Amino acid sequence: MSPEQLKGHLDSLVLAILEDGPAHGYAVIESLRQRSDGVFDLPEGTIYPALHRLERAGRVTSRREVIGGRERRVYRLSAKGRSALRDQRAGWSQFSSAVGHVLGVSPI
Amino acid sequence: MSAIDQYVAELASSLHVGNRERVRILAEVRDHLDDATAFHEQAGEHHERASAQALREFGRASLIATQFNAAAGSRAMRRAPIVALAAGAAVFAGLVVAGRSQPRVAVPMSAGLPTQVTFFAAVLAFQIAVVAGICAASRALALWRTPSAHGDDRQFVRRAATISAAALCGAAAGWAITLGLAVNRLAHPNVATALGGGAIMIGAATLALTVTHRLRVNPEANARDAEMEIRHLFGLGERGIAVVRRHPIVSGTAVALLSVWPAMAHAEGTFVGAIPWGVTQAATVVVAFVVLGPRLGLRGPRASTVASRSATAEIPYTS
Repeated sequence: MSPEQLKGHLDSLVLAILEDGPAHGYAVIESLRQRSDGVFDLPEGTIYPALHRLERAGRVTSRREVIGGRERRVYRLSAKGRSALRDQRAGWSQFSSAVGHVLGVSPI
Repeated sequence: MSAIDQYVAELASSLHVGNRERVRILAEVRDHLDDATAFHEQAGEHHERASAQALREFGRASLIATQFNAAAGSRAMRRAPIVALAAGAAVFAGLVVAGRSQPRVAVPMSAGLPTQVTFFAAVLAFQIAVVAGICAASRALALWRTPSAHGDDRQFVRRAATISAAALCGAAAGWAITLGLAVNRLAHPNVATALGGGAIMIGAATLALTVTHRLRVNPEANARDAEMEIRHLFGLGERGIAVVRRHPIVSGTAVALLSVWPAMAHAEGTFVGAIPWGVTQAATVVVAFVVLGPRLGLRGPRASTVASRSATAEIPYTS
């Protein structure tokens, strides 16, 4: 899958990853890769502008925490982020369903 | 110096963001690269190969920096019209304060020609400041929800806000000179109030010009995110400007004609005596429209408008 196709969906994907629990940047990108079975294999560094953007938008919060003996910045989903994720899921469901109908592909 | 050190140094030199954000980004990037290197080492790689692979997977420093720079530039862009607006309000407040030093209106009918000319020139400069400020604000509002606006848009907003602040400086200077010329004519001038008002005007305008000119909008960083929303009230200004762009001659002429009457009404007591002021006002509108119009997006090639750009931005998620 071309990374270009991720454009516009990265923020939603990051929110969905953080819904499972707080994580630092490296864990987010690892989780994204694993949950997509390696399909979303974008440059790892691009996760940080997304995380910073989400934090500025109030959708995630962050703070320094010690993980495995080392200090890392850990991101958490905020209430606003949870609400945004809910909206984005609903929008995606509607969009993918409509595209599936037009393309003649059954929803998974 | 290790490969990771070199990468972090390269990223640091490419970042155009605030100091606090820079420190945070570099720390996060280094942590990430250390984790990734450790992961590859655990998988059996030598340290050098592990760090090289971690760097390869992370993406080019220029790509990462571009995304941060674009976002930081967009935030700076949003500040530009706010600075210009605050300066405009401060200059107006300074004028009001200075006006209190005089028992009569700022420019009495019997004022000498130099006083009238400087006051009128300041009014014309203030009009340019308002129009440029509106252009900056309308573009910034249209892109308010866009995390990383296009570099051309960021540069446009800074340019329009800088023109606005420069015109405000002209207005403030003109009004300050007017006060200087008028203060000797008054029976009971309050010199301290007049000076205070003048200082507020000139100080606010100069500060705004310095701030807007130095805003780091990073126009060269063109990583655009998916959102490019111009809708509802946020896009109202851009829609209005689009109408002006479609009908430049009609718009310019209409504004020139409409502005003639207020200029004449406040200039002289007789209609004939007021004509030069009205003509000057109309001529200024036309000249400003011709000279500054392209720089303010009011006329010229459509490539500089927001709406035409939604399909041309660079894709950020490629290495």
